[in-house]
Amino acid sequence: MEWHAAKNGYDEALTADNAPRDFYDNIISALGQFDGDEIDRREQLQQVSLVNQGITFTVYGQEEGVERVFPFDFVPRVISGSEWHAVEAGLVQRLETINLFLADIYSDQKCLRDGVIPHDLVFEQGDFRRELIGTRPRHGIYTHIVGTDLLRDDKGGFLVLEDNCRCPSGVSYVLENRNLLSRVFPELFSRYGVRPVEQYPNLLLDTLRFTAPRGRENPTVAVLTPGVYNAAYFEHSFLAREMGVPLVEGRDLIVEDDQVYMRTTRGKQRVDVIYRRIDDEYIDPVVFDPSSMLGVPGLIHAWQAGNVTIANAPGAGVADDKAIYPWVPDLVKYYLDEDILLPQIKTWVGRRPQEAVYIRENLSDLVVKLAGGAGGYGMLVGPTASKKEISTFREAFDAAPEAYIAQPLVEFSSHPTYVDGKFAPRRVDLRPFALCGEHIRVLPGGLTRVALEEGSYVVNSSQGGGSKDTWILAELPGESKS
Amino acid sequence: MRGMLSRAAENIYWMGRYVERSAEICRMLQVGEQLTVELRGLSPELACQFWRQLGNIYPGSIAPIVEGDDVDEVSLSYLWTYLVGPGNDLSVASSIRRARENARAVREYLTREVFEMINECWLQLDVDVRSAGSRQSAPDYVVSRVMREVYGISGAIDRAFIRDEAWLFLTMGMMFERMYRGLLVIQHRLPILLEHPADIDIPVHHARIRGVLRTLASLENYRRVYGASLEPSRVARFLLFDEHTPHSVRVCLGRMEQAISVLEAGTGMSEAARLIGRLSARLRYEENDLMALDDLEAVCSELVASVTEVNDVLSHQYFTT
Repeated sequence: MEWHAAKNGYDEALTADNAPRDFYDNIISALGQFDGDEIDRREQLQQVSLVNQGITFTVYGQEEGVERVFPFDFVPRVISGSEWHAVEAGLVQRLETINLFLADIYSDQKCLRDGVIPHDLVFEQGDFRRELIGTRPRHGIYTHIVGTDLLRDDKGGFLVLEDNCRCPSGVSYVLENRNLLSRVFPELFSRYGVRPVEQYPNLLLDTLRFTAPRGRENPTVAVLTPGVYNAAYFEHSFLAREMGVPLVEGRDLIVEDDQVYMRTTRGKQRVDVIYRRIDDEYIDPVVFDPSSMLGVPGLIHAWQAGNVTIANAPGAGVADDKAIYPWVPDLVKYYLDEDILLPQIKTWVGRRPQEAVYIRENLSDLVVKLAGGAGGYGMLVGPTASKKEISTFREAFDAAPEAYIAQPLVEFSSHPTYVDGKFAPRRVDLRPFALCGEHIRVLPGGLTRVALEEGSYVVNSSQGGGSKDTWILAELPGESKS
Repeated sequence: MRGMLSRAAENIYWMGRYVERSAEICRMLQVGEQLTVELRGLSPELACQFWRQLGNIYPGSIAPIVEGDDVDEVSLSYLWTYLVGPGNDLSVASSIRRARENARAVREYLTREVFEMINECWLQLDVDVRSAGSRQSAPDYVVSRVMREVYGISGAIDRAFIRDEAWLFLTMGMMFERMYRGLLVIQHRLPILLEHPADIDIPVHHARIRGVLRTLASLENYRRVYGASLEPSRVARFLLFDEHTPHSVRVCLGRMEQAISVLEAGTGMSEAARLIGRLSARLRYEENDLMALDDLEAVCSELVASVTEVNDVLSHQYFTT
């Protein structure tokens, strides 16, 4: 079968003359041993395996609770050990900064007083929770689990697209993808030293236990899910199973005297650490949305009393708001006195009147997103949008320009992907996962999402994206490739 | 033994009930098909009666509306209704779907094999449900396949499931369903066979008794104990009181009693344990008294009421804390 490099942007596996880049020659030659029928047979096998194992996500907006398989592409993405080192250092730097920023704005707010970041950006966005000022979580860790979205630019260098500091999802697919690929295409692994990912549940449990309230030597950890109809329910269940901890819903928990308990067959049992996969808004109807049926009345108060750890902490979402993102390099400098290691994308913020005017006048050239949005919803990709789409979007933008940010379209990298019986370039991003406990640890790899439609820039699972296994190669002594 | 989440315990208990129920309905449908073949030429009205009594054994199920006594039409309609019938909550498909929903809600308690086998069973059956209108698959083939898959699920549970509290609730769910449904089968199928009219048609009579035993997976076990002699009163004793055959009410209650005693070890005796213990003792020690009443239907009816109370008390005690 033939392999063709992407015409636009950087192709991660092939040079412009279709020659394999470093590390890809063995993959391409290994896949070359199979004819089309064999590849199709194996692809079918992996599809059946995903369906039978129930590795699904739930799609909203159609029939309630429709389960879909997250499409998996078997051509692995390879990143060298030395390049990963640089990414890892950049992610650690960001996570340190984010936690310092959160600790600051929920206490002294020095960064605001020192003019590092504009007041309005923090105070006028919904994710800043005034109710939580003065609450310091154990060890000062607000965000324990972060998924940072990265892109490669047209030169192949990594750029940060955004951080996800609330309930980043996708790590279960990282583990399942590795498991699946090693069963369906074991030959691909034969000439590579691929760093494992299976340790993630252990690392996550260590992280959560480290942050347990004082005096709780053998803490009870639980994963809090909105329930089986949530889009990421498979992941919630997967993580609870892999960590060996209960998966609880709001109705399973009660708060009495600022202590959190779960209802068990032997009565109430205290819970010390909650890895919540419910958004702030729904987590406690007493403090946030009073109509929420998913949350636990009194939970925030118990957390403020220091009797339970909530990971990630309530209010952490203010740090990953897309309107805060442009100031992250300044925050890194302010808190760590370092230059930012991973570059970012130029961003205009609709909350600033002059920048709103610029966005409005350049909608057709920009990617415009809701500052607090996720999942690719409410987004305009100006250069590929029709006039009608731009016009409709302009109306939404004019109604609330402060809700949006805009960035130039990054011609981000492509990777060979098996589509309709052929290998073809498709755009990919990368979401590595970092954990902040006693140390900051980054899982080697991450979730590579791939836009399966030709020419598409949208990689979200909810909008037709798929995923790949991501290999970080073990660094061999003396390795210097980058 | 540590406590488990009450909601999860309830999900596991019901997963057990639905898995067991699906196997029972499959067996019932297989027996119905076989009986229809045997009785079609001899006594078609009895074959139709077999199907029409399903509503008594599965109270709350929605029976198909079939005019007349065309045995083929009756059997096929009931077969599809209880296999994949839309709107029938007591069909095989509905039971597997609910088993899967419950399994999905407690996946962290299950081994990968157990979940995947339930999931695969549902995915296959879902295809049958979707094509039920066109009736593309032969129902006997679907029933046999589901039976094999359910036995596979039970095997995976038996071989791989850690014997913890979740296992105890799963066991209680399966045993409860087996016992409850078994009692309803005995109550509605056996009393009429105890009567001995002068003009009894022996082949038909024996076919019906075999049907009862096969429905409760006990025909071969009965023969090993009593040989080929099919005496209805002996069959009733065997299905109610035998201490070795896995589908007897006594064995099911005994396993529930064991499970709850492990569950409550070191704590005081709960109301559920007391109820189960009392009922279990009756079946161990009052066999002759109960049979001497000479009213099997009334005995079964009373036992059904008692086991229903067990279910209610278990739910109240463990699932609504």
